Amino acid sequence: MMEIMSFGNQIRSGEYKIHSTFRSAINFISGDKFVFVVNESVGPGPVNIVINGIVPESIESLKVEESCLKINNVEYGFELGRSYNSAIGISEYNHELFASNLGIVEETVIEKAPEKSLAFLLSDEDGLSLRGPKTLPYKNDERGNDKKEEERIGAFELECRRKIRAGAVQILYGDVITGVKMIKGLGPGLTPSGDDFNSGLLIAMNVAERIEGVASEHGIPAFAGMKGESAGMTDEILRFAQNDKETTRGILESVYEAARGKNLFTNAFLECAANGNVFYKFRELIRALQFTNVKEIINSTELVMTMGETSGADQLTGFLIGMKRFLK
Amino acid sequence: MKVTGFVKKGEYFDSVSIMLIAKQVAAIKGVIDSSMVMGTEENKSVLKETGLFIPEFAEAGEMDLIAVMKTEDKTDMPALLKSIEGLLKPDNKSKEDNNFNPSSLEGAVESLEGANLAMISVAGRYAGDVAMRSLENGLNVMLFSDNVSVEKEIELKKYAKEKGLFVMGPDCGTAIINGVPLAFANVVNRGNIGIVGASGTGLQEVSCIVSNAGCGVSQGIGTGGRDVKKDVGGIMFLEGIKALIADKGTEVILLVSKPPADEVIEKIKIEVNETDKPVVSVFLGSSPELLKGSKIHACTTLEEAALFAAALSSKSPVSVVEELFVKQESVNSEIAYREAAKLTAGQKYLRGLYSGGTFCDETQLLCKGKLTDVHSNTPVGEAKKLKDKNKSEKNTIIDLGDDEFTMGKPHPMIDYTARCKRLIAEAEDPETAVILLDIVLGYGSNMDPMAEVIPVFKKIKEITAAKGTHIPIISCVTGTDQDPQNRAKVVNAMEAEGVIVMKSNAAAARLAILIVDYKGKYK
Repeated sequence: MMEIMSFGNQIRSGEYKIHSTFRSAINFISGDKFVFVVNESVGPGPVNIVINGIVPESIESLKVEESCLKINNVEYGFELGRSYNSAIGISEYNHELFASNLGIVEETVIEKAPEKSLAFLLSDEDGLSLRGPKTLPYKNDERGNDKKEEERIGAFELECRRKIRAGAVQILYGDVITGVKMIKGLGPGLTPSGDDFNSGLLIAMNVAERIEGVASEHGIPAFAGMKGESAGMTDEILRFAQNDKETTRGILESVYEAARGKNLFTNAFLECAANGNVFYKFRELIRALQFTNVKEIINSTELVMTMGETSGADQLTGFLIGMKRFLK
Repeated sequence: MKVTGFVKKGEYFDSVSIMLIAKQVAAIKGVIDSSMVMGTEENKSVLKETGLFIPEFAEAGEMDLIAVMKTEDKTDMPALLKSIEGLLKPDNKSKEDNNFNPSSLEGAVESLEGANLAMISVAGRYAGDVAMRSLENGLNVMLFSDNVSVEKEIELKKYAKEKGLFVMGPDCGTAIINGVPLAFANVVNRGNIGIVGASGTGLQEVSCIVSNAGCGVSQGIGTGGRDVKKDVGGIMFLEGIKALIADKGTEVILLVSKPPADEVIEKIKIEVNETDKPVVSVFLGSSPELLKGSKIHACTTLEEAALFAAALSSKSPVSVVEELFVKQESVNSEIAYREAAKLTAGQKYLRGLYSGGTFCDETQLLCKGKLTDVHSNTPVGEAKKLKDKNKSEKNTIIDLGDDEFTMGKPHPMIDYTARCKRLIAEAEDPETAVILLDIVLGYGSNMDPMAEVIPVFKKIKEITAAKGTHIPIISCVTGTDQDPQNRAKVVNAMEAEGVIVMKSNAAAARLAILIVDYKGKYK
């Protein structure tokens, strides 16, 4: 009998069928709901069932009920100790520390992200980085030395980069929804890079929302009695600060709606991100951001980048640009 | 130029596979440009804008994979498409594979009668429990995983000792059991030298030197580096010694480690007093004084220890080894003088870029008394800690396999990317006098390291030629001619590019140090 190491708290009841099989995961689907049966290298996630060892090809059926799940008709109880709580948690918040830690994440992503990822958006010359100038870095007609670049990375990728950069500029300095639409569905990967970026953005919005919640609960001096702008919050989040939760959620939901497409994988990940549910690797990073431990922040960032070929780095890029937009 | 492609419907490939296949497609002769992307409307629109769209793609949905290639006119399109279809097959093949994939440890034990060792390579937080279950199932354990707590390691090792089993690890990268190389290990001759190693690269180096000297290895028992530290107390290192003392196939015992805790050394001394078999040790960085009064023949480098063990194994006088070193010193001196003479005034420093941590330590220790201002990301002896691991300072010796470089990435013995980048950076530094590196062959390591480093060596030559300078590149190649990569082939390829290849890391390090030393003295 195989051993279940953990199961995500967002797994929903249903009778699932095998959708696809990868090296370290079997993807089950029921309607538009996914459950991913994965090995330890992938690790816990909102809708992941982590089993011990290599994912066995002998898993043929999966049924999730209220009180248990059945794999190949063998019943496994939902032991509380093995439940993975995928919700983003912000328990401590110090604005200076958090911002400085985000800078460490950004440096690590710039240095170590795979070449094909969207981390190029964060380099200084692109002006989108946390440290970068607040000027529009991209002109639509700026196609100078592109021939060489096209030979290096290919015409498709070059054009995708151009579009994604334009979308990121919109997200950062203009209309978020327009930017999200410009980026969605673009790029390589089973979940296209642009979609991973957008799910990172949704995670950032959730983090910003929770930070504001903690700040108002605990009366953190950095926020107490301040207007949104001076407390490092932009207008959208300021609405939340004014107890207009519906509106803030509304923006997040508009982003989610704009980011959704017909790729079922993308939609599953976007839904989790919109609800503030993240993979273990990302949750650990968010936890590390709240405390002073540079090595742990770097390690956690690198761990997120092990997700997929570029998915982790793309999500982190979206996350960092989202944090820059929503948390100064 | 022609554009061709196809749509894969109803088959799914994870992103890593898609990228790997895309890379392979791009390398096919005749392919000028290519992409492998999901058929989202946005991606299709980009394909149109870039002239990579063909009518067949119109029907592709967001869950379908589009493969597109722009090729030279004369390319044989059917053959190209067939080869790409071939690349897309392996991922799905596993479903048809008849190999039995047991779904649990117990299932694996049942399905493979006589199995007595579990090799564990899972995320650290699960690895300890899996190891315990393996022991409970009567299996010895090789625990490749790291990030297992020291408390768990002690618990596992105490339990294993009670049951008469071995726990090699955690973080045990190398072992050779009954002639079978496990994880990062080499294909070495079988023979009468038994090795206990708390250092993976160390165990690889000594076993290869022994084998290349015409002798062989009975067993190579890895323990994981933490075993010989105070907390664990050498539980498995001592069990390994006991096993080799009892093993009829072992006539010489060779012990390899970074410095064990003083109390562990005391226990080792007591343990080896129980045998008539000769015992040779290399505890890199440990004071030889600690072994005084014991029957252990203490050596200072991996090469020295391996050659002493080989001499004892073949019943040759140990003076043969001393003679060999004298000869080597004279040859080194000649090469060093020649190479130092080619350096410019500004070229002053040694830059060692290692994939093996033990080699990095060994080289730093060999610098003692010869070079000052030695820096490392993992300093030992008199070396100082680098301020920034990515930037060399004066004499710098780096372990690129250290956690801070490898977290979430393949080890540099597998993936040369980081080291290749650093090699170029060092070549561009006007203060670099000598580049020193290791190439580690064998199972687990990169199967074609020359494909990675030869272009870099060529690039370095271009860089230095443009500046009118010369940088000697010195390397050791840890491996044997029986390794899948074939040591002789690798050495020949490197020498053809002007690299000076030495027989061991110690020899390579000594030469590199000598060049820098001569440069300082004579110019």
